[in-house]
Amino acid sequence: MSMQLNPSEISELIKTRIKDFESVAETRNEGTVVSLTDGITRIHGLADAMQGEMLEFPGGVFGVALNLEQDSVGAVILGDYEQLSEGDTVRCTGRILEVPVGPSLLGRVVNSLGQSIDGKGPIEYDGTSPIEKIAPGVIERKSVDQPVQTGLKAIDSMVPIGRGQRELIIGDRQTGKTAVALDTIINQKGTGVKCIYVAIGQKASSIAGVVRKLEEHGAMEHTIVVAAAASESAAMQYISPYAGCTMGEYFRDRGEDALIIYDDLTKQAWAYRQVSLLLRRPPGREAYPGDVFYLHSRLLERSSRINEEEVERLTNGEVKGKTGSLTALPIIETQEGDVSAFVPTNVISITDGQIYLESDLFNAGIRPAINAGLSVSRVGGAAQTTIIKKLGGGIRMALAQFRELAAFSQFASDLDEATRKQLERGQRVTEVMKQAQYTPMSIAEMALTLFAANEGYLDDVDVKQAVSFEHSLQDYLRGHYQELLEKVNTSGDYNNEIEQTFHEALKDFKANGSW
Amino acid sequence: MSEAASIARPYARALFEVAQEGNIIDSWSQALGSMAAVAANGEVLALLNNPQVGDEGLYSLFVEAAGEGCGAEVKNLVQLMVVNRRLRAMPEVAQQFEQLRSEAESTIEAQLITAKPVNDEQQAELAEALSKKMGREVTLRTEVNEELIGGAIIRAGDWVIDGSVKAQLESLATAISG
Repeated sequence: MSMQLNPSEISELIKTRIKDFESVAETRNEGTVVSLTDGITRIHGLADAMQGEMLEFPGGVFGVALNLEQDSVGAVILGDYEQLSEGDTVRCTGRILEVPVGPSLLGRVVNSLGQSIDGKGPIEYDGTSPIEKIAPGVIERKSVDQPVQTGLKAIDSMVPIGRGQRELIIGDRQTGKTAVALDTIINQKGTGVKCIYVAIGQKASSIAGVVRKLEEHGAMEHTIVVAAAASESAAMQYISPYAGCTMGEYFRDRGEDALIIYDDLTKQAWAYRQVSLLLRRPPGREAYPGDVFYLHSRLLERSSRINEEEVERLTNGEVKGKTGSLTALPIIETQEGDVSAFVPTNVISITDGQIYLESDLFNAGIRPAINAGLSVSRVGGAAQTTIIKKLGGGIRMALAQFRELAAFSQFASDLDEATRKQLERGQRVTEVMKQAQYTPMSIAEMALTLFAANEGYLDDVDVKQAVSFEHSLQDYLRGHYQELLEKVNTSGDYNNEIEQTFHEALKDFKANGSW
Repeated sequence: MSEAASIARPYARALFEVAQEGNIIDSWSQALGSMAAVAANGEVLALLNNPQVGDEGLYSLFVEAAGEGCGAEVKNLVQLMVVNRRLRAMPEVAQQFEQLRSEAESTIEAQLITAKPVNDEQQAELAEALSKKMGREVTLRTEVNEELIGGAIIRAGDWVIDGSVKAQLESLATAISG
């Protein structure tokens, strides 16, 4: 670092700070640390502490009061607790835990308290906001009717996501859950959707890998990464989703659209379980505390779309006629595909649908490994673009039926013509639903692939060549039909004229192109 | 400490009610004070933790500490605490008893820590100002600590009013370091 300190600059800075410094006798509530174990402390005194209040320990260490009891306060310490000891004085701060918010956080990697950890220096933020907030009420909300394009044709056609929706990504380890989330972030480039990626309990190397991938694809400019790595204290892991959510709500409340990814809530529930057990709260099913449902429901409920009036009210009339949204993609990791475990069932019931990823499909090379039968979106249909809705409508059912038929047909020796045709179509649709990582597609490109599959242009293409057929088709159209693609991308409409042009383009490609 | 407080609470409350009914708060307060001092003593603590020391020995030790003239009620208390093996909570019981007493009498003890000694007039003035603020009669206990450099710290229960130069310098340091 070749940072030269300018002496006058510093004395200037100090001068302003001394000028602003008000010396008043400080009135505060004090207590004493009685015990300190695994980042959990019991404090005697602090009779006036509030639930969730920030507590100040010696040496600038902060904690959060979680248990208010008759004679003591149970609190978790955020950060290092090695230098603290029994008998230390603890002060109330009178503030609920807050994190910095604002656009200056975009492009940065921060910890659960909003402090930068990317080595790019401190963040100049506009303000702070409490990490625990009550979700918008019924009156302030607006129904979801705009799409979040993930850029993955399997998701956008079969399980569409709307702005303000909560769509769960669920699956075993190594099924591509994070990959789906990252592709979605990358596809938000240039759409104005701000993204927040909350990494909870992951390896620091994985988080660094994610940040590097986002940088490579130019997606860090519109993204905040909130990282609570596996080495951080359980308390930091437990609060990180709330911190990320508060940063996302900043954009929602200003009439913008934001997308937040919680990767993953299973580990957050583990961290909360640890904190709760150490605080001696009674354990329940799978040793989780009684409020583990509320832990996730209050978090996910904050992802919502709010109406114009609410945005206007929250910005004091600065932003008019705009709705704000915070879309959430929580991730849950299952063990051996068991979706009936405690936390997965909870989060499935809270969210507006789930994308179910399967190891078997992943290993068979079908990536993204989406199970078309079990994946649903309960509100996204209303938000789909017309063209994708029209062309992708039957895909989910067709694929689910095909899988059933394929399993059944293994026992049958000879099949009738109709069944055979259905099977062949299914195989080809399965093939074209494959998509490589970090290659999000535009609406027009997706529409074209869906159109080709629906209209039978793939029927005479060998199954093994279906993928290369699709790639060549996209390249060919990008070269020869740029105008058509742009038109579809901007309007998203579907009519006879577009249908005719698609037919022409496909016939042209089949006659002149190669794959 | 907090667990001891929970253990001591029912004892302190019951004792205070007994003392109030008999109108003998002062003598109870004295007896408890001296028993607390005994229980807090390091050697006595070792005895309390020693399983070989019998109940009778502890009983007579505490009754003696309470003073010869103590009533049958005090003896009963010691008997009960010996049987329940709660003698260790005695200092806490005494403290809570005093707290209940000051609440009932609407008084509070405040600690005044200053860098330099304060004269009686100033003390009286401070006590009056504090009484007004807290709505209770304040008795001041003074202490001199030169580390404060200047100003004073007032402690009353969990409340701390810190007007010391030391605290101001510390907050100035955090303000400058940003």
